[in-house]
Amino acid sequence: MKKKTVFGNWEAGAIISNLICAKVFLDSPRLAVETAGTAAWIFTIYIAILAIIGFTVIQRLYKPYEGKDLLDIAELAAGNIGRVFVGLVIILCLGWSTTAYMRLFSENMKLISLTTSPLSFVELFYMVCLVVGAYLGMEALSRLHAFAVIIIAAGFLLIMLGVVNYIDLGNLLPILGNGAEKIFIKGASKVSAFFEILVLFLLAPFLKKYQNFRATGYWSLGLSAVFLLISSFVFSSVFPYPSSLERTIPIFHIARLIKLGRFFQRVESLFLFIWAASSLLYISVTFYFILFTFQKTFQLDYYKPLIIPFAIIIMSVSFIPSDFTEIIGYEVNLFRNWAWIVAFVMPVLLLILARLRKKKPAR
Amino acid sequence: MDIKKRIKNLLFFHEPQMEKPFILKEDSSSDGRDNSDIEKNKEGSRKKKNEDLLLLKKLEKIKLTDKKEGSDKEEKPDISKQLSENKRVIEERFSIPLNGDLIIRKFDITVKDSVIAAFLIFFDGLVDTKVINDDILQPLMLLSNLDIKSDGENILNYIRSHILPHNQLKEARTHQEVIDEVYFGGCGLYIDGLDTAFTADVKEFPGRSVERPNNELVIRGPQEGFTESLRSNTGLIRKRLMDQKLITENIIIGRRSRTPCSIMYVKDIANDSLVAEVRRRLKSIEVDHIMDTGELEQFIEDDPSLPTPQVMATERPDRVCSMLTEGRVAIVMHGSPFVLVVPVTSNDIMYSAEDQYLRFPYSNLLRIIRILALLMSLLLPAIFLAITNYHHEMIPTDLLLAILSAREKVPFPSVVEVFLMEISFELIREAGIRIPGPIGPTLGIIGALILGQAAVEANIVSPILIIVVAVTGLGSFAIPNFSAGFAFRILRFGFIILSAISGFLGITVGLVLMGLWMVNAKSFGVPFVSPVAPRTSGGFSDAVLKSPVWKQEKRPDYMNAKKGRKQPHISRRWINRDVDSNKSDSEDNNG
Amino acid sequence: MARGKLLVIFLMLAIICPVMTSCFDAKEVDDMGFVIALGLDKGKTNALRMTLQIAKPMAGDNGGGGGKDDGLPYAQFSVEAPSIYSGLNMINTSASKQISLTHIKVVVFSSELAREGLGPYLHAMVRGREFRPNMPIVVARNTAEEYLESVDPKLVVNATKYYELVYQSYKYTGLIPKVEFHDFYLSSESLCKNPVAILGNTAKFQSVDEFDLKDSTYLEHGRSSPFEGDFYAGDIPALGGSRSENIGLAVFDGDRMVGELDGTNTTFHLLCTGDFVHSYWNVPDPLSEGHYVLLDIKQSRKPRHHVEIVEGKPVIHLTFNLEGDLLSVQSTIDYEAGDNSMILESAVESYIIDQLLQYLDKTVNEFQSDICGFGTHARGLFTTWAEWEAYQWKSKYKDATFTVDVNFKVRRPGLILRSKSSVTSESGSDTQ
Repeated sequence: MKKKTVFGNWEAGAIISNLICAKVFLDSPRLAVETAGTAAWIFTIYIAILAIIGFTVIQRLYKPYEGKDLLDIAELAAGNIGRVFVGLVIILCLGWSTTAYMRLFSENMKLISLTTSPLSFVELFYMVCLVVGAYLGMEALSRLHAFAVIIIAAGFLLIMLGVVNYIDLGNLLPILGNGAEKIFIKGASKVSAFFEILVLFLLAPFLKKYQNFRATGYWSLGLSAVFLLISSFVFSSVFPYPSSLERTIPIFHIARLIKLGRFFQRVESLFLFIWAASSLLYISVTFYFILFTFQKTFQLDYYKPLIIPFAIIIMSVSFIPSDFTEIIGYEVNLFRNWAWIVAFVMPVLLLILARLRKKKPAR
Repeated sequence: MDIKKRIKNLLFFHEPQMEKPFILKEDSSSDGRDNSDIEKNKEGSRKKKNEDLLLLKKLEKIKLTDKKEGSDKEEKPDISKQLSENKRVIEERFSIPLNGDLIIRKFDITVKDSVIAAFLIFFDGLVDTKVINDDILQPLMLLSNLDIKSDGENILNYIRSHILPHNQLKEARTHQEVIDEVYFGGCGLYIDGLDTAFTADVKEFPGRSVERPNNELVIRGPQEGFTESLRSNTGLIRKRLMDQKLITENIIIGRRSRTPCSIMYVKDIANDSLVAEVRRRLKSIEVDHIMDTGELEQFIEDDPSLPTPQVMATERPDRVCSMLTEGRVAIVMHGSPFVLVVPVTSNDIMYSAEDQYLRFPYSNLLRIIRILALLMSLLLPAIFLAITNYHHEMIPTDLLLAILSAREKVPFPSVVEVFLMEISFELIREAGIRIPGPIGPTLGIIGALILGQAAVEANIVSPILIIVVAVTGLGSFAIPNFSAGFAFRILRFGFIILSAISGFLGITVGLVLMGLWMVNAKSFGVPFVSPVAPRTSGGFSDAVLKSPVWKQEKRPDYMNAKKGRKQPHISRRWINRDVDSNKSDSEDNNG
Repeated sequence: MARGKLLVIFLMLAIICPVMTSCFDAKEVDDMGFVIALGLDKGKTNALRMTLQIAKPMAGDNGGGGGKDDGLPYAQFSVEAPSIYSGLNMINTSASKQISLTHIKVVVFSSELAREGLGPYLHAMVRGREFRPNMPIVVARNTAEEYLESVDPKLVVNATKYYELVYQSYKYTGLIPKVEFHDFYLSSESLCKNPVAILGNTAKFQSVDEFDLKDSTYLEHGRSSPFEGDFYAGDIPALGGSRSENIGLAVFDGDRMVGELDGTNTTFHLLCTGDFVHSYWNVPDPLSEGHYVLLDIKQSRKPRHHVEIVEGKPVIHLTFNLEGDLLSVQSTIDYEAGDNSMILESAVESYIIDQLLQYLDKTVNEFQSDICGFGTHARGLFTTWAEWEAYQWKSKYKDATFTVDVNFKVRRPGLILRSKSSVTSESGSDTQ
């Protein structure tokens, strides 16, 4: 039907890492602090390890299904119904994260710089990128990631380096923060921070080889764990525990502190560059995968006619929540508590089902 | 209604037509597009001639010329044995006697007691009359009387092998071949009783001699530039690139102008499918006249809407040579001092020829400066606008107050101010090129005085903006590629608008869109932003910064050249005293 | 493909057209009035009395701007309002330019306001994105309005530079604390630390005749005459320059001001927090009564804090590593080498310990406020936040006991290697 786009580990790793790490610019450091108090960094390591374990299980099971994405596997496991069901679940989840992130990023943008612009105006910018990205397709998006993510990462590290004077390791004490129970038992569901690894299972056909799939998964999980760790570490060491909970946009508050002599002060607006870039990439990729999944679920020939309607739906839905805290509430308390089921449990179940189905006819 | 139809067309879905874009693949043999089997057969003989020529070139410095193959091989031989018939055809084709500068010289040849009528045609002004006199007319008319010991029955062979001492003599079977040759500065010789005509290359075009390149200047490096003549251009390339596998394929473009062009590549480096694609695109061009590679470039580029050039046009033979060695293909066109090289990537348009000749720390400094120049030329006015309109807190207070007091009396909003200055700057630039030479210097005075001084004095613009625009202008001049400079000048206005709308957010959106646009582009099947995106292995040795020459071991991966390696892992073999100098020879050529 | 592109272009145009009609947030620089200093007092008619200094366009080469009228590079506005932002609105009724707070260089609170608690104002300042997190916080002993009025930057042309530099002087005088709004705010909310602010005031002396020492703290420090630090802001017998004085610190407990410390104690405060850079100190000459040795003291390493909790009470052990250069030896005793240098060093150590304990004693007994942030080091003794919270450090601090260790070393003797007494006509004949 169409020439298959194939790209390398580097691009795929960049996409997944950016997807997972984009939340650093929203509220991920604060969430870590909310769950674990002063032990936010331990908590981050913990959920990263959980995610890597989860991925290891999935990756093992994935081996016979080289080059197949989750929808193919769902079809193998439960036929057409399975595919449609899984497709709808994925569309719902990705749709939610796209709308939520679009709204959150736009709201934050309004907080930071465009205070008097209407929300729809800010979201229009996101819309343009999202539509253009979807039109040009995965190849262009992946290539853009290949170098944009490096720049974003470098900018992020620069911010972290800029506040090195303000880091007070004393703020990481008491070492266990809110207590082991809260971190390790209640915090486990926060592994949903790595929910975006789901996209990797959709990326599988683009990566072709199983080795690439595995390498990309580990690399991107590892890298994003490092970045999440850096962010929560710096955030919780710069802002002492109870006050850190107040900060709406943690990284923005960190960037505000940067001061190099009299000349370089308040460079937080420069931070806006990497922040906006990261969010634009996030939204374009998730949007593309909504279309991709929809196309595949309903076995359509083309996805391009869907772009405009879907974009309009996403934008309209993002206007539904009445205020900022409401959408944060949905995102944090609902989505980020349960998304791990979709990202980790669902693939495992599907893979096991698919295996069972495969074995039966053989006997 | 047309508009109604168009809107309908826009809004409703239509089955897209599947196009198969050309993608440069690793394995060139599997590419089914390479359909010209005849070409392949021809290559053998052409190669031989090239080798001969190379030998000749090394032995004696004769004027280098490649054999001009008749590209219209399908044409039937139409030269008659009757000289009068031929003459009539020629006169008709050249519109004699309307055409004043075509010379038809009739004469007789005496061969072995028989007198054969013949005539010679050439254009006055395109040929070297002395060569015609000495090497063609004289032997035919005078020396043919000499008793030559040969029993050649065949007059054709006899004339060719004994009488005409001219070094480039070809036989033509069709009138068209003769005419092409005559237009390209040759002369045609028709002999009564032969259905074959001779063509001899006696061209001497009026034109420049080889001069220093005007636009791509370097301090360290060769100082020759291409001229308007095809053969001297291919000669300049051959002179530098002494490679036995260097191929010069001829091709004629233009249905009426029949402009001769050459495709040059190194046969065992350049990817076959790339060469085939270049050939295909060039051959497919249907146009009456074509004047310059500037036009040709627009005919063959992949995406006409992309702001940046997708074909490299250079006037430096050394540049072309180094790119040929990487496996690229050059297109030389008669009448243009710019040679096209394809494919190019975004990196190539940011590099100057000098980068390779300078030691690597120096050229890396230059490259960093050029990247800065690019960013400035693209973004500086936009960033200035964004900061002064949206992000006041970023400016150091002292500077802010300086800007504030400078702007206090300026009546325009800063967007208008920026546009005003940018447009005036573009005006100065354009006027500087168009202005007649003698009054050129005054322009600088006018520009500097009126725009710089008076505008500030009159409180029309703020002085700080003049600095911004001036630095932006300098930045755009530091971009080595002329066309790329244009690209960024145009895009700059886009960024100014975006930043006026929403500050840094607008700029970021602009950058993302531009990024998407660029990475989606391809130049002859090579992704435009490679080796950065998509990242290819080992492409970083010359990607953004340059590694030392002895470390540039591999050709760019995205070229998919037949031989990936340029030099062995240890190219400076003297470094290791123990290495046997013969031992690593085998490593040299393992692509 | 072509259709796709057309569609994209069409869409972009459709989106950009309405966008072009308005640039919602664009504000020209010259349409804004930039506040460089903000003073907050208790109002007469309302909760707040706000004083704003708004920068005038800089004096350009044409000599305009720069405030020809009153010679000041800024215009000062005062207004009484219920809150900061409503005050801005009220000022905007008279000021021609929209007021922007993005370039505030200092916020001054009156001590009256500070003693009532700064919480509401601090929250407003954190929430608004305009305030800089690294601006200093000053507490004016009288009113903020008076303090800001008395700022008359004589040494620099522009006021912003004055504000940026004057509060950095802790780096070389050690007489004011290092205060950034960021830290101030966090400390005011912290469980383990209390904030301090720079103490400022208008100089009370108008002429040399008025000079007196009745407000100096030299007696408190057990000295016969005041050292440079033995003053509170406004009491220094000095004339000239700006009439605003900054010396000492305001001690807070949470967001409430509880007391003041003079310049000398401020130096020790800096030592304890590790923000001390260097300053000139007079130390009593150990061998010659009535003379002083002048030292340039630096912090060679950040201080080490070790906190223990013994029977529920904090025991704090402090180690300081200081080094100094000899600047002047009034007694001309040869302190450069040998035993004399050891004597000097141990004298300096005991002097510092003595003064430090006095200072720490004040924080514990007088203010009961952990302004040095020892609590931050105590947190490590607990494993979870709940335990730490339950301990209630701030209320336990009043029971804290200290042990102090000082290592002092004279590193460089300055340009003179051997001190020699000056030779007068009498002594000269003696030695010869």
